[in-house]
Amino acid sequence: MRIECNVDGKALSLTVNSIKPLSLILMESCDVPSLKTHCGGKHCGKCLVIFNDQVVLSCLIPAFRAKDAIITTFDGFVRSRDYRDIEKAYASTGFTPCQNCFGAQTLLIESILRRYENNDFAIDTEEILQESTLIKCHCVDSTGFLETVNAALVNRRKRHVRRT
Amino acid sequence: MYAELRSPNVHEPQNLAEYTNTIMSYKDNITYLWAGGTYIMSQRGFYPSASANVEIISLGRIEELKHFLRNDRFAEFGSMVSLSKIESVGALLLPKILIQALESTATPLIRDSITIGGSICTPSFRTSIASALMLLDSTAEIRYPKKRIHTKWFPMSRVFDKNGKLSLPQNALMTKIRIPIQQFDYQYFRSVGSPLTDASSSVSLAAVAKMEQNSISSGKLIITFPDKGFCQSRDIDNIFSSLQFPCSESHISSFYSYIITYIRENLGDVSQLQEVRLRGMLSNLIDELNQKSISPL
Repeated sequence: MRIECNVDGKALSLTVNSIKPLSLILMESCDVPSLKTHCGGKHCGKCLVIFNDQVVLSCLIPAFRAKDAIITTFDGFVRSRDYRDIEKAYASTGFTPCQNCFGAQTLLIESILRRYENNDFAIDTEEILQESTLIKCHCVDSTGFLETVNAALVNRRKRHVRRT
Repeated sequence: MYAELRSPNVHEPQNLAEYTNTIMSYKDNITYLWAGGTYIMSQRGFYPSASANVEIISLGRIEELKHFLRNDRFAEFGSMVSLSKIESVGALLLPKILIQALESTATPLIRDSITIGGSICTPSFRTSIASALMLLDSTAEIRYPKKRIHTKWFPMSRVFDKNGKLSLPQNALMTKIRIPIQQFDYQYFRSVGSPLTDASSSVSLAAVAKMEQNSISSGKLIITFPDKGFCQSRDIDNIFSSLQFPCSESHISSFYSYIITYIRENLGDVSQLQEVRLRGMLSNLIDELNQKSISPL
């Protein structure tokens, strides 16, 4: 089937199998450098992308759902201002994920920030710790992850206050 | 890779009438009903698929399946409502065991894409959400084609047969799930392991009870083995309801051995890990009820 989508700001028209996972499309047809493995839907957590403003596991998205979608991979996300909030948080907490999962961890933190940035709710620690188990990597440190989420959220909310 | 393989046809009906036309046209073909896709996409061998002539009916655009309704007696969800939405909408409304069952399913990010209908209708394993719904006497609206389309409300316990397999009519579609709003004096839910990634070692236990002083006036209990099915029986409920608290060790061990015998007779052998986990959960349940009976409040 033919799908038209936007990947990291580039409009693409692709002919793919209708059930091909998005992670494979991005790896094979779009040569996205940040996506290196395809787990076949086993929830390894390393194929996170922003799909129509929502962070999703791209191995669970079939091609037919990517029709007219706006997809931002980690490579596109690093160019955004939102990434700066997380980058600053990494620097302040000293928590740095390994190279294998850096992109996925960053997008996971971004998904949590999007849930909390527009309200004053305190972070639900249990929920964040549960979320941190999504990425299966030896470097995952839940305490460091939690601290980084808190620091990034402070940065994000400050930026919103300045903007308003 | 595999682009040359025949691509399955994808149908995206906009409403239930269009869905009906589609399912009637392709009722003799292999059809996949596509809800959130979390289960289907994680199946080994789904892509590249060996079978040709597959029709996919994506339910994502049918607005009727995404509604939410509540009144004093029940909450009603369309089958395409995501688990995270039910969790946020029903946090103060739905029974605690259901909220806990939702929270124990995958991680928040994955729950955004799992739908309630999909989590009940997965063909190869049973989820703790389905068992919590059974325990709460929930019902599901099922549409199925015969000569014409029939719509019928099924109690959740009739959606599955006694071995825990889905027993819906062919090409049936679950459209709504109705959850009664009830008050219980005691609710218990525990789940260990992930049914999606490790079905053979995970197990969950849910129980609800109405209490009268130190005894249970009416209690219900359900155990879920994702790879085997559900363990729910009136006999077990009666034994559970007849327990007096604080409960002695001998009562607990006879209760436990009855449950294990029932499971072996009806569901077959369960793994040793599941058995150990179940024993831990049951003793935790009895401990909590013992504590509740001796605490002043």
